[in-house]
Amino acid sequence: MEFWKGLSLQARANSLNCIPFMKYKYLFALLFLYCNASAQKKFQLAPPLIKYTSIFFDDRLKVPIVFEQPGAYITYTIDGETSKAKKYNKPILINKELTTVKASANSKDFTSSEIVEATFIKNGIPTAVHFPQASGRYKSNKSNMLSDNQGGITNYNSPTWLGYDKDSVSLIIETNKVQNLHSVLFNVLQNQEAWIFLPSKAVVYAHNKENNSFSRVLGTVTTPLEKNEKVQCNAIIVELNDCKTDKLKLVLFNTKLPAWHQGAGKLAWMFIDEVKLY
Amino acid sequence: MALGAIGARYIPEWLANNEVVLGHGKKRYRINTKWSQADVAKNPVNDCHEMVQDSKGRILLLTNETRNNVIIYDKNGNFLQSWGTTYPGAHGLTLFNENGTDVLFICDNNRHQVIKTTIDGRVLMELSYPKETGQYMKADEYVPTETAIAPNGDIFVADGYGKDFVIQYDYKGNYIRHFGGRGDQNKHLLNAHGICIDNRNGEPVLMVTSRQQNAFKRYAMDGTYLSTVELPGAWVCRPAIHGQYLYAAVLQSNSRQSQKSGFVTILDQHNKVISNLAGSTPEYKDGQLQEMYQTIKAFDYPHDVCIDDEENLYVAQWNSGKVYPYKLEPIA
Repeated sequence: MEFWKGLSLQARANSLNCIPFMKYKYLFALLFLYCNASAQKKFQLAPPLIKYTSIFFDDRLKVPIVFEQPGAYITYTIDGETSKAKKYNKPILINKELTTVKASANSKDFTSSEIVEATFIKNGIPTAVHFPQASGRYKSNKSNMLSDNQGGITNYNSPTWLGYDKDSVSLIIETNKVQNLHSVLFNVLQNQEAWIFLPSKAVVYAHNKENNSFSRVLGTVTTPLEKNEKVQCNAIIVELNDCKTDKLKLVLFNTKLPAWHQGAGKLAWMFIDEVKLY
Repeated sequence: MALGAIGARYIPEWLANNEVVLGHGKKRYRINTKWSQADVAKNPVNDCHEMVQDSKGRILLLTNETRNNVIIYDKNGNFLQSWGTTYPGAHGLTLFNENGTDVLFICDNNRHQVIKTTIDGRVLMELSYPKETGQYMKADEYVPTETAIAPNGDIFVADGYGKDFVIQYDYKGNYIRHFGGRGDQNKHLLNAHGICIDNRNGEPVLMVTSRQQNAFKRYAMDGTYLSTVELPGAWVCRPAIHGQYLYAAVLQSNSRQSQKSGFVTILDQHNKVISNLAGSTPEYKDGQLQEMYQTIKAFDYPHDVCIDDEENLYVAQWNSGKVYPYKLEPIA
């Protein structure tokens, strides 16, 4: 009994002596992990790739998101859900009129990526959209360019875009019959480094058959000019007040490049690839 | 926490730099972003376009900074010497061992010329725009980006920012032929940014970059088109062959253009992608390479890869905040 008691006391003494040393070792281990982590974390992951050939679709669309990096995973949200982002495991089914997917890449070894987003848009009322000739090499001979369900590609060289470096651009939208219309949607590109800015203002006018003019304003949207390094598409919606017609005019107003831009004072470019009517 | 923070300030450089591993399979590397020991006040760089290793084992960098167009390093990144003030558009740098002597071929975008020099910068030959082809009305139309030199001294120039022709000269600079150029057939090129001679599979062939098409195109030495190596998603710069592998800087990912989305790709003897440094894991489905893209923001716009005699890589970058080259050491 005495023997066991003695040993136990000795063991207790030993363990007490060890505490400062253990702590020291523990701190070193922590420090080592911290150094490693900070070495890795100095690099950020690039955003994942939301894969699609066009953001416009007829009934439904399956959208895969890919990011092939060992140890990394994708999280995403749909339509600005405020709840926690979900872990991606299979292509996302999209069938609503307007769906925004936001995704990022994450890993324990690197800083999480910035968020990449894409908005998918369902077909609306069949329309014909007449457009003036575009500028430079961003022209097209395809008469249904703005109603062909093709677009949403963030590369400005994609042949789906029409590019304009004009003060304003007027588009005529026609449907096959007089009907109630509640909104106009148009998809534009933003790539400020490449001088492509959002229109500062968009105005929709109703057609007046009596004098064949567009005078009555049905809706207006203004876009604040903000610095944004992201290259992305923007679907802008103009709500229409009391609108029953078969012909509209959409006017997009351009903006001057702001003081902080390398082309300050010059006219920006507007890129548009689709117009929808609902 | 406080101790940790203090400790972090004293991380030795080698530890901090060596922990990030890039690449896949047998081709994985530790990246060192602080390799260059050059003094930025004395030896600045602008765009770092291309790099080669000479027969003395030194690493040569070509930059369009006219205070020192060529900077010569040892493998540890120590500055040895520099030369060159007359190459405002310095872009392509090729080393050729001419009967036991190292010579250089510089492509200058602004001068619209190819300049042959000694290893220490004495000019040996200047090739101006190739009137003989009948394709050029004036010098401005010709913007050479790269050269490749055949064992017999024949010079192949890729006009990658001009009309995308490859022009072949003999070693004296006499025009022989031209091929490539723009068009919609397989034999045509779009942004013929790089060229090299590929001896990996017996017969030598010319490997030419068609950057905007995200591909390399293979031609026989007489300019006959052979085949295309598709590299979906990758804006590849010049091919650099070392041993059985082909290395190339990818300026940017197709899916994220003008967004500093570059990486480095490595192909095996059969021109199959086996590793992407800071890029997506290469994946073949039914023999088709899937779209590649940047996954780690380790590089902005990589423009060239140089492989030294110890299998280390050096990556030079364009438009990336005037950074010096990075070194990547293989993981055994």
